[in-house]
Amino acid sequence: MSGPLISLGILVVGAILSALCGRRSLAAARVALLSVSLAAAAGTPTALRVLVTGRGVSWRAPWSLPWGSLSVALDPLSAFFIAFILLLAVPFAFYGRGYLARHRGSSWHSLSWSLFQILVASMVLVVSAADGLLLLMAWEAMSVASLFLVIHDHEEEGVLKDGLVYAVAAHLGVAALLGLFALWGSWAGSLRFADLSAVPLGRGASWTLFLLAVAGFGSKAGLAPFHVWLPKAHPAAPSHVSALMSGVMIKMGIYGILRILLLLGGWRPGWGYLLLAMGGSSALMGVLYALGQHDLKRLLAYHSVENVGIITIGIGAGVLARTAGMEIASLLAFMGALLHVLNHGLFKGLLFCGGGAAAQASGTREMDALGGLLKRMPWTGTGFLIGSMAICALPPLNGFASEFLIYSGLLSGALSGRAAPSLVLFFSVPVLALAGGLALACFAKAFGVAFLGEPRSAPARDAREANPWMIAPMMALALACIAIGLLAPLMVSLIAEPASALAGVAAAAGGGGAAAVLTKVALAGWALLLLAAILSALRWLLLRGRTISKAPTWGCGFSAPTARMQYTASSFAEPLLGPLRGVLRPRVHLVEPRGLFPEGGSFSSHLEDWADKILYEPLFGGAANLAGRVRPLQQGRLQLYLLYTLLALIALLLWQVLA
Amino acid sequence: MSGFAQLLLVTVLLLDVSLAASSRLAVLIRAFALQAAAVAALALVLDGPGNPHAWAVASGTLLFKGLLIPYFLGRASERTHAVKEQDPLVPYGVSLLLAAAGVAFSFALASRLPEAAQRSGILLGAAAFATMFTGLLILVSRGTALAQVAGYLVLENGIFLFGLSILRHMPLLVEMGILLDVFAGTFVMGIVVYNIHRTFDHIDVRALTALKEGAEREEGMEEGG
Repeated sequence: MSGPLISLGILVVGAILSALCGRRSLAAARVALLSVSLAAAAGTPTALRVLVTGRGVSWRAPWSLPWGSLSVALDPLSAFFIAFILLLAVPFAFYGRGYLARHRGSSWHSLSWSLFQILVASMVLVVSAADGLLLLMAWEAMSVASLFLVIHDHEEEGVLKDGLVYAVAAHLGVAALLGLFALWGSWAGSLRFADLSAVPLGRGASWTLFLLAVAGFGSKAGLAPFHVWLPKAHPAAPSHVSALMSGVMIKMGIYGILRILLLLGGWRPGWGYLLLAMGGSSALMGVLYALGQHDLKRLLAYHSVENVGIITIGIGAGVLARTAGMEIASLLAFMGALLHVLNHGLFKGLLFCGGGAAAQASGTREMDALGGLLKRMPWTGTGFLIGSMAICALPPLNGFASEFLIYSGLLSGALSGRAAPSLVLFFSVPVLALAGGLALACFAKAFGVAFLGEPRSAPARDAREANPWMIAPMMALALACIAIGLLAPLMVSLIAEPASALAGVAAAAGGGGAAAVLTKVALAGWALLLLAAILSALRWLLLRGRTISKAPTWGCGFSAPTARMQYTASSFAEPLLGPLRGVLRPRVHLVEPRGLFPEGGSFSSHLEDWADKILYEPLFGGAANLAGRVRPLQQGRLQLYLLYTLLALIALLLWQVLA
Repeated sequence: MSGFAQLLLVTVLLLDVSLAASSRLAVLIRAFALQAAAVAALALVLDGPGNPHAWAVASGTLLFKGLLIPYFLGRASERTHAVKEQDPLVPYGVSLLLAAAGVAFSFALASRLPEAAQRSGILLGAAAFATMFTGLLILVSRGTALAQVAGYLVLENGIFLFGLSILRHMPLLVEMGILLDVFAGTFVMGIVVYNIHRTFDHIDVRALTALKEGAEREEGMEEGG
């Protein structure tokens, strides 16, 4: 157990030192890099040992806090997430060092480095806590640290408002979690996980707890309809924070759901159906809304919703398959979900780093002002391309491996022929496939509009390649994406133990099936690489000895080509979103060209979130309305306030007299 | 309860009514000083004159609330040229009626007090409640800062009386602490009053609404919601 505890200590000490650096924020960054790296070095070996052997460790200390105990435990599930958090925090910290380098030193930056380390430490504590109260405290620390990281650029317009949305979402989520642990703890008489899992639960009780867990943890994970904070908070945050939050922090919600499932036991098929439905709708809605976005980071944020949906489909399939007695299908689905957690952390981090670098170099996140960045920023562009391919689940990259595992779980459950569960698992396959296809279209748009073609604005034309501090982490993440895709069978040993605990089978019994699947995946990847090598050799052969001339992209033989002739983000999405206009209801501004020699015409479309419009705007509008009615009470007059006190006092006394 | 104590309590009650209806600050301050003196005497009478502890409490109360604080308040009213409150939030006639209603309500309340608090008779509890209500009434109905300070002090008189009714022997340390609080509070309020006077050229606390949260964007709120 000592490894992760040492990591926690290092991170806390580093956070304090960084905060003390004041205006010397470069020193604070160095401290952060050192502490995050040391923490990873200290914590990962223990976590990996637990992960491979499957033997957990625990540690407990006396604590004077009522209802809580300082008990920390590492089972394979925790170990998987600890290794995931610690290893991924390192490249993001290095990237952040480069991302903030162009700013002048300020104490605010030092503080943000301190918060970065606190965020990592609190996430480690969240996944290793074996006590409800400790988990809630770590969870709250995580929310608060990330909130202040989101409003890092608080001088910019709208950032504080987006931060507020995140704060409200985070606290509504915590409210559900408080309810969860308060209820469960009152039944169990203690908040220690061992006691919680020992208490027998009836049908209604376990459903209540499960729904509270899904609402509380699901809102952090960004499951629809709790996802509205993601597209607001991620673009507002600096890119290394977006990467950490989107890549790692939202997975704490996934961890929470898995942990509560493990503790609850006695799963019900209804939970599987619910998770599949939520996952499916998140995946589809996330990718559809992503298609309609113009802001590069907002697009990526909606893809986080999509990928969390995919992970949840895996979890839902695992739950459903286990309750129907299909252990192998369940194991495959859980392994796919876990592997996708890791993979999404890698490629979404890479995409946020690449997108952030592109946005920083050209001064805008609006895709319609970018273009042609691949020529100006080759490293960043390549990184973004690899990330895009991985997130679209194209072989030979890692996204393919994990989604393939989920597919095989779904199909193996569907083919085992147990009426209702099999049918539902079967129909989840096209949902997943549709989301994957749309993701491909979406990243063709994102990469094509931002990185290919000709620059659409002067700043994009003058964009320069990012500094090495930013490039190196991106390359490391890209290499990891490729390596996991090509060496997929090796990953089985990392995910077999936690997945088999969830699926309820011995790791040795079920791991073979997954290894076979992943071997095929890797072979397909190698075959593709070989094919690509043959094709490029062929190209080289054919082009040998010929003159190659270069012309502007989209030149098309026009005498006066302009960058405005290119597809824009709106026009690229139009053929896909057009048929869905009735469902998505984009706001379209269309000025049609008129006459024989039209003078002007324009088209633009904006997509507003359905959940925002139908669910949250009426909800919060109503709350604001109610609050507004009470507002006349605040007149600013001392006498009036005292009158309220007097009236309350007299009312209480009267009640006593009359009673 | 001795006849003298009852006489003192009736004095306190009458002063309550007078406090609620007096428009001149000088009268207000004097009535408060008189009430404080009556309360101090009451502490002595109820605890028995043979008790050195009671002497300490009574003399401290008399010194601070009967003499020093009224003196400071009087000086403050002279310096700020505040003589009379012309336009109270609640007209004086209504205040008078409310104070009378408060006295009646206080008797109703005092008769409902638990046994332990009624040992010293219903009159003491009633006077305590009536004085607290009067203090709150002054706080609510007056606009000038000095009258507000007087309201707080009257409220404190009532709390002291209530303490006498439930605790036979008010612990010396507690009472001394309260006295110090009141004294320091008055001191601070005197400074605040002086500064309000210097800033706004009057001591009408109604002008402080300008400090309310969001006062300057009130118009924007109407449109934007």
